[in-house]
Parts: sequence; C-alpha cells; structure tokens
Amino acid sequence: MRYFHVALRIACLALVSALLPSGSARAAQAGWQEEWSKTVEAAKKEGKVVVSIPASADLRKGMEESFGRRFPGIQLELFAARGGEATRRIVDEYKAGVRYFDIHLGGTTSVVLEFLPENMLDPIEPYFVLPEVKDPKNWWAGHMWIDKARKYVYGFQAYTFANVWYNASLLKPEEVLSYDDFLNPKWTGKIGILDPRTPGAGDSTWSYLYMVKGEEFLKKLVAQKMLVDRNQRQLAEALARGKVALTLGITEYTFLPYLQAGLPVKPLPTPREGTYTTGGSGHLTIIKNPPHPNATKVYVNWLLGKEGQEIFSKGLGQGTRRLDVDTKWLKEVGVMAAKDFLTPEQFLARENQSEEKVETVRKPALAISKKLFR
Amino acid sequence: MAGISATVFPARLRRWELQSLLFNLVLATLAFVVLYPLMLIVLNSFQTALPGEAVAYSLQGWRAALTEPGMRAAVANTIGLSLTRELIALPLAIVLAWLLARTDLPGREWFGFMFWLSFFLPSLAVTLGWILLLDSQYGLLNTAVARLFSLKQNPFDIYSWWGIVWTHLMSLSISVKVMLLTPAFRNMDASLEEAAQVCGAWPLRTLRRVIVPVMAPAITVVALMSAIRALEAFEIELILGAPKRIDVYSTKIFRLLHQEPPSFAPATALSVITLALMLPLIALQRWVTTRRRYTTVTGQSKSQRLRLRRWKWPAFSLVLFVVLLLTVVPALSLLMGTFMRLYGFFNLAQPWTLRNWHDVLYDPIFLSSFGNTFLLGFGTAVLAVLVYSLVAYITVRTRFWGRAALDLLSWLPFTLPGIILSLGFLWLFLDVPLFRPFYGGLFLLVLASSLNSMTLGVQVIKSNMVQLGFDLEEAAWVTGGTRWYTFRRVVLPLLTPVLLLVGIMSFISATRNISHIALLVTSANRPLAMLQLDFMADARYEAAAVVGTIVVLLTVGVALVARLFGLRVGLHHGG
Repeated sequence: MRYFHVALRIACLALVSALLPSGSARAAQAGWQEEWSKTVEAAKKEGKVVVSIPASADLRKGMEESFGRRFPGIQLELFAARGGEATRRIVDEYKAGVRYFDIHLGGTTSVVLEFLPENMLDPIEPYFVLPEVKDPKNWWAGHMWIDKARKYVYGFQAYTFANVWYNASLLKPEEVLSYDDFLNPKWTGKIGILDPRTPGAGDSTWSYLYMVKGEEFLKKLVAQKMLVDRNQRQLAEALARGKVALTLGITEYTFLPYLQAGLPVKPLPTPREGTYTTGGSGHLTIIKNPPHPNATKVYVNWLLGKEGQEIFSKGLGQGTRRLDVDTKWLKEVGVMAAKDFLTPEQFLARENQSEEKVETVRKPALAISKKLFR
Repeated sequence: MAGISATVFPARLRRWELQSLLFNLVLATLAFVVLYPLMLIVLNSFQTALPGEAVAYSLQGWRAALTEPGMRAAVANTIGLSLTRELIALPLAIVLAWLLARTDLPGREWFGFMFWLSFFLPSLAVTLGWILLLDSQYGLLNTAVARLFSLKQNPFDIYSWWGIVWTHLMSLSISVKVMLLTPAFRNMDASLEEAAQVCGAWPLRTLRRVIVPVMAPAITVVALMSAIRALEAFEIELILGAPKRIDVYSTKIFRLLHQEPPSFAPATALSVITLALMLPLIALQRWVTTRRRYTTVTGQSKSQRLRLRRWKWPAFSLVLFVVLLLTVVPALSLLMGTFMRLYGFFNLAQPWTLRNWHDVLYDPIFLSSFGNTFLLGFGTAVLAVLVYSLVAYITVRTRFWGRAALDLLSWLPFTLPGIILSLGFLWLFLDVPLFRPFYGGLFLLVLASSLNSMTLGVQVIKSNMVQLGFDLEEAAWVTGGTRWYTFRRVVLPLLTPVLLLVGIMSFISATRNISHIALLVTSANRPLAMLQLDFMADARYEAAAVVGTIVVLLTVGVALVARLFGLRVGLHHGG
C-alpha cells in the first residue's frame, strides 16, 4: 500500500511536470516577458515612435486610437503620405544624417528601388519580441520576405482582389471572359485604367498583364483608346456614370460607396488568365539605427500582433496573413485574403511585388507604359 | 559750424552704416535661402546615379527631359491654353478692377469682396462644380440648354481644350488679377481721369488711353505672374485633360515626379528650363517698371471716383454676372459636396448626409490641425508682410547697389513648381546645420510658405510703391525724419490696404498649399491641408470638401476682419 502511494505520488508529479512548461520553456517565457517589460519601459523613456504610413484617414485614426490606448506613455507620430513622397524624404534625411523616421509601411516598388540599394534598412527579426509575432505558425505561409536577403522587407499581408469592374447596364459579364476580350472593338474608348506609370494598383495590373500576355497585347490594349487617369475616384465615377464600361486597376475600396448607393458597378469574375496577388501596402521596413529603437520594437510587435493587424486590415481594406485575424468579411468588398482562398504556391506564382519580380516584371512593364502612353 | 558738422556727420554716417548693414543683410539672407535650394535643384538635374551608386553627373536627365514623349504637344498646349485664357482674362480684369476702384459702381465693396471669395475657393471645388454643370453626358446646364433649344446632343464638353480654358477663367485667372489690380487702381490720381473727361472722353476711352498706360507697371507684373503661373498650372489640366490626353508642360513634370521610381533629374531639368525662360521676362518686367516714372500718388493726389452715369447699370450687370459665375457655382458645389453621400449623384435613394461633417469634426487630429493651420497662416502672413515690404522698399525706393539682385531673387521661387521647390527647401533644411534644430517644427513651414508667396507679395507691394511720389518722403526727411521713421510713418500707412491684401494672400496660400510643405510636415505640425490630403487619398472627396470648406471659412473670417480694419486706414477713401 505504501509503495502504491509512492507510485501514485510519482505518477502525479510526472503528470504535473508534463503539463507544466519545461524548465527551459519557463526560462524562455520569463525571458521574453522580461525583455518585453524592459523594452516598453525604455520605449516610454524615448517617448515616441515615428512611422510613415500610406495616406488614409481611417488607418491613421485607427492606429493612433488603438496604440495610444495600449501604450499610453509612447506617442505614435504618423506621417501619412503617398509612397514615393515618403520614401524620397526618408532617403534624403538618411543621407543627410537626420534621423526622424523609425519605420516605413507601404508598397514595395519604392522600397526595393530606393531603400535597398542605399543599404539603409535594419534587419527586422531582431525586433520581434512577442512569441505571437515571432512564431511563423501564426502566419499564413510562415514569415514572408520581399527582399532576396530575406531580412529587410517583411510582408504581413497577402490577398487578391477583383480589379476589373464593369458597368452592369453597359456590359454583360459573359462578354469578357479573358483579357483578350478587352481588345474587342466594341470596347474602344470604353475602358478606363489607373495610370500604370504611377505606383499603385494600375501599375500592378499592368505588370501582371505584361507577365501573362506580353508586350504585344499591351500595345493592342493601348490602341483601344483607354481613359487613363491617376485618380481612382474619377475612374470609379466614370464607370458609375457609364462613361466607360470597364475599369482596370481600381481597388474595391473605391467602389464601396457606389456599391452601397446601388449604382450599377460590379466586379467582373476573374478572367481566365487570373489576376495578380499582392501584399498591398502591408510591407514593413525599419530605417537603419532608428532614433527610437525600443519604441520601434514596441510598435513592430503591436503592428504584427492581432490588434495591429486587425486595424491595418480594416483601415485599408486589405488582407492580413495573420491566422488569428478574421478576414472573411473582406469578401464583401471584393478582397480575398490569401489565407482563405489560396495556397502559398498560387500566391507566389502570381505576385509581382517581390524584389525579384520588381526587377524582372515591373521595371520592363513600366518602361513599356512610359513608351506607350504619351 | 565746424562743431555742428562734427556732431551731425558721424551721426549720419552711423545711420548710413546701419542702413547699409541692414540692406546687405537682407540681400545676403534672401540670396542664401533662395539660391541655395535653387543651386541644389540645378545640381540634381545633372545627378543621374541610381540609388546606392556613387554620385554621378551627366546630361542624361536633360536628354530624357527634352526627348520626353509628347513634349512638343504639351508645350504647344501650354502656350495655346495660357495665351487664350490670358487674352480673355487680362482685359476683363482691367475693366473690372477699374470699375471697382475708380468708378461709382453700385455695390463695388461687396463685389470686391466676392472676387476675394473666389480667390479663396479651392480649384478642385471649382473644377468639380463645372463638371457637374457642363459634363457632355450628364451636365445639368448642358442638358437644360439642349432641352431648351431642342438640340440632339448636349452643346458643351468640359473635358476639352475650351473646357480647360473656361475652368481656369472661372477659377483664378480673372479673380486674382482683379484682386491685384484693384488696390493699384485705387492709388491712382483722379486728376488724370478728370482731364480726360473734360476733353470729352468716354469712360472706356479714358480707361484705354489714360488709365492703362499709367497702370503699366501693375498690369505688366500681373501679366507676367499669370504667364509664369500658366506654365505651372496642372490641377485643372490633370482632371479635364485626362480623357482627351491633353497634356501641358506642368503635367509632364508632375508625371515624372509621381511615377515609380520618380524621375527627379528630368523633372528638375524641366523646371530649370522654366526658370531660364522666365529670366528674360523678369528682366523685361524690370525694364518696363524702371524706365519711366509711374507716380500716381503725390502730396496733391485726388482720389475722386468717376461717375458712370448711364453706364452704371449695364456695368453693374456685367460685374454681377461675372461675380455670380466665379463664386456661386464653386461655393455651392463645395458646400453641396459636404452634405452628399456621393458628390453629384442626386438620383440616389438618400443622397444627403451629415456623415462627412461628423467624420471630419470628430477626427482626433482635427483640432490640432486647425490650430496648426491658424498658426501657420498667421506666422506666414506676419513674416511675409515684414519681409516683403522691406524687400519692395529697398528695390523701389533706395539706391542700394544690390536692389536689382534683390528684385530678381524675389522672383525666383515663383518660377518653380511647388513640389520641386518643396524638394529644394527639404535639401536646404537638411544640408544647413543652422536649420537642423528647427527641423520638424512650425518655423520651417512658415519660412517655406513665406518664400513660396514672396514673388506675388513683393511685386504687389512694389507696383503700389512705384506709384507713390517721393515728395511725401522728402517732406518727412526735410522735417528731420529718418528713413526708418519715414518708412514707418509715411510709406506704411499709405500702403496699409495693399499690405493687408498681401498678408491675407500669404495667409490663404499658407493654409491651402500642400505641395510646398508636403515634404516638411510632421504629425506635430500638420495643418488641415494634410488632413484633406488623407481624405483625398481615400477617395473621400466629400470629407475632403468639408476640410476645404472649413479652410475657406477660416480664410474668409480672417479676410473680413482685415478688410474691416483696412477700410478705416490707408488710402482707401470712400470705399
């Protein structure tokens, strides 16, 4: 009986120790918690973190409110601007030795073409502190890098969207099943495209068409006398008013008020050649030797955490790769988060934002657009 | 006697030395803050190394600029569009300014204010307003005219060459000229008109044969400014020219800067070409304004108004018509836009909403942006009036050796597109250690905004100063007044209306201008214009219109206060 009790105690002890974290795990847990507390304290002493974000009132409001509530001692200074303007300023400041920005969030082209060659970025992984951020299992397709070195430009979003829209009173969706149908003389003067010479969805769409259809197709497309504009709103309105029958490269977010108002704008079912996949504006870079390193660390961990990703996703209507963030609602606005609909292989085959694709697809496509649109 | 000379001369010498020191200091400071960024802009037009490469200079940027596809058509469009609108706007503005300033036109004070109001209204609101009226498909006025005259198709198309001309005329082309010319006309000696009337000349003949020649400096300056601005105008062309691909010189620069990656070398090269083209025009303006005297305000000046008699009501109708076109359409368009779910879509189930106002007023940064806007506008207005009046005074009324250089310097910022100048300022503030402590602060925004409005301000003050006779100052000097005393007690009061005008224009320019400060703003000093940009980037024009309306209300409020004050002082007799 005595032996039985001893055996029972040993069994219970073994069970409890099996259920409790191991010594090394406990040490690791204590390690990150301690590091996090120290980082937050140091960040409070630094006082602020300066982040360049895409120009969007909703995103700015969401971030300021949420981050301010979560970290009251750290001021979040947001500089909202169009990608090219922000990167130019950051590069000029960096070269002059002025350290104002800590972080830049945005598309990849200017980052790949300007930040990377200037060697002005810090590796990102050392800034990961929280396990929920560090652990690749929390991310669809693990950690995803845009740069070839896989350490300077982190892509936290992956999605695809309906980027061809039509006016239902002018066109039936079965009339355009392939991109080749765009060349039908019936649509001459009736296609609108977001200027592919400027960064954004127009540029991405154009590059995708170059990738799947080639230069000859683009020449024929331009011969269709398209309405080329760099203003999404104006193109959306042109479609809603029936001035054009189709638009290319307009994001679903722009059409949302027109949809809600019951105007005859609709997303075209994806043409048979497919459409591109993207990370949108969801790319994180940290400027080398940031002026507020600890606050930068706090911000990075907040942004890549559940709360930060929800706010970013909602603010811009783009799909995060974080698995614990709900992205199903995005379908209502024509966006399909990659984690809900695609495999990583499918995503990578159609993306044109990575450093490699910028070099091999975007640059030649841009050169063609400059030549064709005079 | 010798003793008196000994005490008087050193004192005069000291005064002269101080004065010379001040003038040289003004010249040196201005030369530095204008030429340094300009030099960097010129240098960068030759800098063609790719990011990450060692700095390299070549003519590649210039070659790319000159061989830019469609450049010839863009230049032809620029010249054609500007000439057409200036040929319409300038004579009309001269007539309107003369009617407001020199005649007994009924309601002239209110008309004058309405032209100011037109100047306050954002170009985007004006453009959208006219699109709503004149779109070839759904334009309200277009369809009404077609229905009225049983036409098969709508007669007008705003997205056309003439549409661009029309929208420019309705935006700033006329109103800014009237604003600038009216104070100059007010300062004219009425005895010239009286003499013409005595000789039996009709009002319009008096205007053409007497007034226009006397007002040559002011008219030349205004015409030259319009020519320069015409080279830089792009907002209207960008919207209305898109469907028919009507590009102008400035839209080419804009596209080069906004493509990916931005082509800075060709864009700066094109800007340097503009600058080079403008230099002879600036020299011409100086030649016109200095070759003879244009004094119209002397100790014996009369400022009596010409009686229009039977022309009174036709003239009233003309001015009323123009004013309604310039103000009512865009103001209604702007205000209406703020209450619409989707601008211009009246056929929705619920087209009206208060959500746009709610979104803006409850935005957490609204109040701080509002405060920053006021500080930026006020700071710019104060600095502008002080510096511009000093520069204008030295240029026009002294024999300082560097006055021609000072005049030229005051023109240079105007000849460059806003975003290029903004880059120049960014490089200046980053390069010069003196400015580093202020980087990210409001002061540099004020400085950049002041430099941005400098040409307009200095030239307006100058054109009024050349009209002042020297006898007024000489009288002050004879009675022992110093140059500073004379400037303060004689020249400044005479110029009060025009200084107020310049102050208000600087205020407006600072509060509205995004391109000149876009690269210098931080979240701590962002003005309302940046909040507007946020909404525009989100394609939420309606919320952006709310911010635009608030900026207009702010500037109108400031203008009203200044105008009420301006009516009590200065030359402006009898309204």
